[in-house]
Amino acid sequence: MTATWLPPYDRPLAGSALDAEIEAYVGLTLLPRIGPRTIKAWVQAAGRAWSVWRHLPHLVRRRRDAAAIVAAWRAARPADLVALARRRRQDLVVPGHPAYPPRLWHVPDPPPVLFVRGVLAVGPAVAVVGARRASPYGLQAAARLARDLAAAGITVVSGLARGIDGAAHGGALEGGGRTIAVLGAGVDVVYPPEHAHLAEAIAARGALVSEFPPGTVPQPGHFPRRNRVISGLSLAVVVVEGTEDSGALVTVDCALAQGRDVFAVPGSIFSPVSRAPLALLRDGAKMATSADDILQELQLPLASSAGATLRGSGGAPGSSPAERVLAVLAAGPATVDVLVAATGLSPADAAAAITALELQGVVEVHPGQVVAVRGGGMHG
Amino acid sequence: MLATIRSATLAGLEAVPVSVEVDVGPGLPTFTIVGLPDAAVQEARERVRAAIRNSGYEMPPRRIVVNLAPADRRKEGPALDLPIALGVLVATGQLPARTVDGYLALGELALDGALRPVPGVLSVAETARRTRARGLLAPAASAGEAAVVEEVRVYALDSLRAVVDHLIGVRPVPPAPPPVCATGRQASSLDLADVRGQPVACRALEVAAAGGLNLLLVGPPGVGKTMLARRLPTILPPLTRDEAVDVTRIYSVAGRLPAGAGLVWERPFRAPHHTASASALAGGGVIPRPGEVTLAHHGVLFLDELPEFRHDALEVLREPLEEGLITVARVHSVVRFPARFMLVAAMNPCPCGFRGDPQRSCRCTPAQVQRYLARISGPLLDRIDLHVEVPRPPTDAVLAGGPGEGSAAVRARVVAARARARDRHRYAGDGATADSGPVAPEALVFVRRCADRLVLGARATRRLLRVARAIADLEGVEAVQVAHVAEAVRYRVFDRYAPTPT
Repeated sequence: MTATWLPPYDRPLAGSALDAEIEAYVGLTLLPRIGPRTIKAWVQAAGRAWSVWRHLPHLVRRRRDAAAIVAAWRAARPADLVALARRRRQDLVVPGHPAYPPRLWHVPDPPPVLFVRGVLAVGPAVAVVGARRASPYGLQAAARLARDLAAAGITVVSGLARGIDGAAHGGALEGGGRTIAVLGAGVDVVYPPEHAHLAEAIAARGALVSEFPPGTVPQPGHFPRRNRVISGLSLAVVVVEGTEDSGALVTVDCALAQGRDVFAVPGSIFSPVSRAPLALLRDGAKMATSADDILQELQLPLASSAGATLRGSGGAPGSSPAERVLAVLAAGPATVDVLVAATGLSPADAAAAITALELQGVVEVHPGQVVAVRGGGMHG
Repeated sequence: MLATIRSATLAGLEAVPVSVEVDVGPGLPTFTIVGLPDAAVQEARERVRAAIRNSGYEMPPRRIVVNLAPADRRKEGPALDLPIALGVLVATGQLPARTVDGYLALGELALDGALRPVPGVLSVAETARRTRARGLLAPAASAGEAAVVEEVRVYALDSLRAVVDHLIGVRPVPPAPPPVCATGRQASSLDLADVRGQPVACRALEVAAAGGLNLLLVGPPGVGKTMLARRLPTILPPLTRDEAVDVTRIYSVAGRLPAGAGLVWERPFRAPHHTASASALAGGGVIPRPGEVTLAHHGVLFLDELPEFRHDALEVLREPLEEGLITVARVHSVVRFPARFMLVAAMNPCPCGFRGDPQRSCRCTPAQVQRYLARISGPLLDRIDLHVEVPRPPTDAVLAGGPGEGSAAVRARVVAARARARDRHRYAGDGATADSGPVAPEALVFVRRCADRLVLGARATRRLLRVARAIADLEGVEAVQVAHVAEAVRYRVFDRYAPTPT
């Protein structure tokens, strides 16, 4: 361990020193017009947050808004917020806390306090983010990548939103690995509501993380701030799908500012949600077609299922209707109408074969009659 | 002097006999009609007066009283013009009373004495048969439908003058010949082969036609849901003569029969707009007239944009979907109209319409989609056997794809399937098991597996079996097999549109 574990801390804090530090950081977040950058600069200069907190009037004395800040400082009751969070079984993780990810502290504007449900153990982590209104292909790709990354011991970070985010968390859980959801609301406020079950599963097998205090409801302004935490926790960001104005691109901007790698999963040139990843690829993002693409680039050990790609293995047209359907689906999801045309089967035979495959759990059928191989590969 | 002319007025689809009594007596010149006439009957006074004068007869300046018996039943429309005019002529001695004896007369008069078509002449002809009338004096343009009733002599006449000349034997007219049984009926210009790149939807249409099942098409705007629905009548079995008479009677009563038409041989296709009111669908009016569900009898009722229909309007559909008829209750009468139709409904998959569309992205939240789908009431959805998604076909499939199978070939299979179903019902009696007929044991196991895996309720499972039965009938197989059930599962998308827990 180097002398500077997490500057200015040379080793993790514990006991009353940690409690004092937590209370000081919570207090600092309660002050108006004092942002993460200022707090980080002060702490690095002073050595400890409690010291900053104690000498706050002195630190702000030259500022024009000093009076307001000092008034807030006098009124602040950080101990109350700490007690509230603990009552709601949330951990408070601040710089100096053993669980605070060093990687996150090194970004320009690290969150001074993280409210955590679950266990915040980051390790090597990759963010998988993308559109809320994703295509079946995108959901499949996100789930598949997350599953293989998780199986290879990588923590999958995402934002618990609808669409790609949800699929990424789900895939990581399926892969038996760890996943962290960074929220734009308090960790006790699950948004969107349909992800309540997913959130529980993540809390049990990873962590729900937020820099917003308990009970905070989601607001539009929260999500960009949330995104910098997603990329800050991660070694790289993978964009699966998104339009030109997608929130995923905000995460990419954060990632670039933080010096993280950016990957994109190529999509159909006809799909509007392929615009963001395709534009990123054109601008030099690395292509991710499998977990190994990412692991290789990050110089991490490859996934156990070596060479598993998102593309199916092709597969020669078999004789049974089910085999013929699977052979066509290897090239990607297709509507039943297209399957009928491509396999030459009668609509009746194709329909029967799809139902049989669905009951076996080999394929799944999405809205719009779209049939896709489950988990994205022939071996899934 | 008193004269009595027999006629009839409509009550629902039936015509009830009416006696038109005309008394011409001394007193100040007046012309009064009593016996619950509506406004159109009241105005008959002016038409009758002018028609008599312009036909070369005399309208005496005396006190004329017309009574329409039975006096407690409301009379409607201008069909009583002709009997009133004949009554005046008889009562004033311009026409011998015995010449009109035993005839039923009806028709609207023009001011020049010409006879205009009126609704419901087929029903009146049936009343004439029941009351053993000597003949029916009807407007020439309406006589074709009336002549369907072969036991009644129908005289097609085009003016008051022609009626009188016929009655007094100056220019007698032969009875109108019954319309030709148009077995070689004019082919519809629509054909299933026009549909390109949507084999699944075409197949679902065929299954629905074979089983006489109700169908819901779910797909983004502009993919051809309406086009598909319009082609359903072209693959249904041709109307039998009895069915054609039923349809003709309904259209005649509704006043929607083209003048001069004989029997209607085409299966009705009705597509009411989603702003239609409950009474537009069910039928209504002081004297109830058939609504859309009845006009679709023996045919297809197509409801586009199903969730946009008013709730009370959709509730109207429950009775006809279950019993094949509709009861219209009014202050003066309760009428039951036949309403046995195939329901075809269409809707978008979500409020913006692009859910699942590969080319456009959907802008609806899951909650919005849920609310939209929930607008269709459960009881209505329960009565729809097939729900099928119609995705947007790839453009090249539409442009380059050859024509699919033509309506004639599909219709042949549908007719054969229906014949098999009829035979089975005959042998099985009308028990509950007749619904799905024999089912292979392994198919039953498969149904149970599907029910577990897809979480189907008892009612959905029954519907699934019905659809599978229709598929087996199309294939000419006695017992429902696994493959039939497996295909049927594809036509039950709503069973799985429930919110997906992630």
